[in-house]
Amino acid sequence: MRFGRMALDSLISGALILIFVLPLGAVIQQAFSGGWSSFVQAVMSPIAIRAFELTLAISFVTAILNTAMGLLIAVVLERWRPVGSGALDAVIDLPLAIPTTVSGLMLVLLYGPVSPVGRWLTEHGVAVVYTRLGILFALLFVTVPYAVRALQPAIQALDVRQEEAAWVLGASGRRVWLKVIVPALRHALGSALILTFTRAMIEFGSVVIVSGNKPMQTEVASVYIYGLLENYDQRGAAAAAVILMFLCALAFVLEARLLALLGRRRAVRWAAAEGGTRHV
Amino acid sequence: MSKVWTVVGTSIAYVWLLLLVGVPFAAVLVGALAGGWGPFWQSVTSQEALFALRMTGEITGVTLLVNLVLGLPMAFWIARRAPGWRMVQWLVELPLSVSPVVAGLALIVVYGPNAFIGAFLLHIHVKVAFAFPGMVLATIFVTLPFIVHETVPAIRAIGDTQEQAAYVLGASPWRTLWRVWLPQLKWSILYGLALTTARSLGEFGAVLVVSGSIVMVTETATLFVYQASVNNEMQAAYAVSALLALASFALILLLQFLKRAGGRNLRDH
Repeated sequence: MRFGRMALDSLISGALILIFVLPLGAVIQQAFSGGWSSFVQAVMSPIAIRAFELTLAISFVTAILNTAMGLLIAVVLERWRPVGSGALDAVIDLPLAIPTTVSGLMLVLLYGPVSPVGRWLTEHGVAVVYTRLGILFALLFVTVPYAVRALQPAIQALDVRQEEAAWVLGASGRRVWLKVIVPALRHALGSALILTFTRAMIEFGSVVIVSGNKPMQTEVASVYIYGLLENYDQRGAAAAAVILMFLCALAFVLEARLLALLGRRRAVRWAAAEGGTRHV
Repeated sequence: MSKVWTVVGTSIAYVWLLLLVGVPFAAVLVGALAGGWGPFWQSVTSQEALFALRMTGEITGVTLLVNLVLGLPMAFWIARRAPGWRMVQWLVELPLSVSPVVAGLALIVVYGPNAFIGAFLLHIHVKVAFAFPGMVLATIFVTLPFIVHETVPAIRAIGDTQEQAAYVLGASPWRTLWRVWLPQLKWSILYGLALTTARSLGEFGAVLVVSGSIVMVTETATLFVYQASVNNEMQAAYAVSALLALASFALILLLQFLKRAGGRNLRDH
């Protein structure tokens, strides 16, 4: 029994090391194998910088848009439950299940010159395929589920009594939302934001098809890394990969700090208000 | 919130999802069948497409098996908070924030022919990079979190009283696993397996980098779609895409069914 347990533990640890630790460690080692200067040189090329800028900017827009819409959709699903919300609930998981290449192709098909939608948009001077707008659409599509699924359980877990108390005390609908519901959801909103943001940062399959991958214009970070690999520049790819992983990790840390800060400010304000009333 | 706002909000949510998800999904089905059933059938049953589909099926099968064997003990490890559980959890969640391309790169760096381990494996005639084992490894890298993610909360919610009862009554660990744990965890495990299947069918970036996408050798269904679209063989790309999209739709229905069937046992902890 004892022996079996040890064997199982070593099997799992071994698998974790072989699958995750060793490969990711090797990427970092590879990135710095030519020393700091060649690492800096690899990631400071204008094409690399432009790719990272573009990735950050579009991911940020995606995160904001999809978190806002995710909140709305989650509220619709958990609170208002209109007709057909079962189907709505299923549709949300669809982007998770559809292969990312297929999502990219869907957008090319829909907004390309073949479809009536694409033709209409072209006539009105809007190009989607092979543009930044196309990348945004792809990222919005791919990250829909993350925001909604992060917010749903939190809305389920809300204490309705707090809202009722606010209603009874005469707060308006908007005030209840802004002062009671949204603050209670701040952790869930934070994780929805961070999940959509990081997923958008790392997305590859759909973007590689939709964006056209023009360097300096529509090339995002993951596609840039793939391009380097195709040119047998493993060290440059590893360097860019390290930066991409670092940016994602940084986003997680920033989100945690921001939430902690907000929490502290709320606590301080609450204490001040409480103290004030006691003095009266 | 007044009634009006509810209606407006609901409509916005519906329209948003319809435009963002529904219309593109419909577009690929329409596009694939634009030339009628004949060309569709022809592209799906071409030798290359059939090979790619079979490859995807094989990879998915092996991945499911490995993830089950590795994922369940990991889930217990994390759920029990055994020594080092935070580390295990962190490692298992890691793939969710690593780009698939980076995952592929990482595996190539270690298991490629120029690397130490890769060269050794090649020496004993195990080809990992640009071959089936590497593609399975890439898929596992990306899908390992799902089963763990689904079963950990379930294990924690069930607790260990029943396990202790089984132990006191003299049941062996295996018997406890079969008679106490698996019957209670089956919905969570099935849900995790369905998610794993969905991701394995659709995995692209990591497999692309690791496999080198060699036609009729290491080409999976998603790689076929990509190659076809790059080569401007749009009919073939759309046909296989439609097939994959329908498969994902079927998986979504399965997931919904599992959610209902599992009812309280799932996600409600």
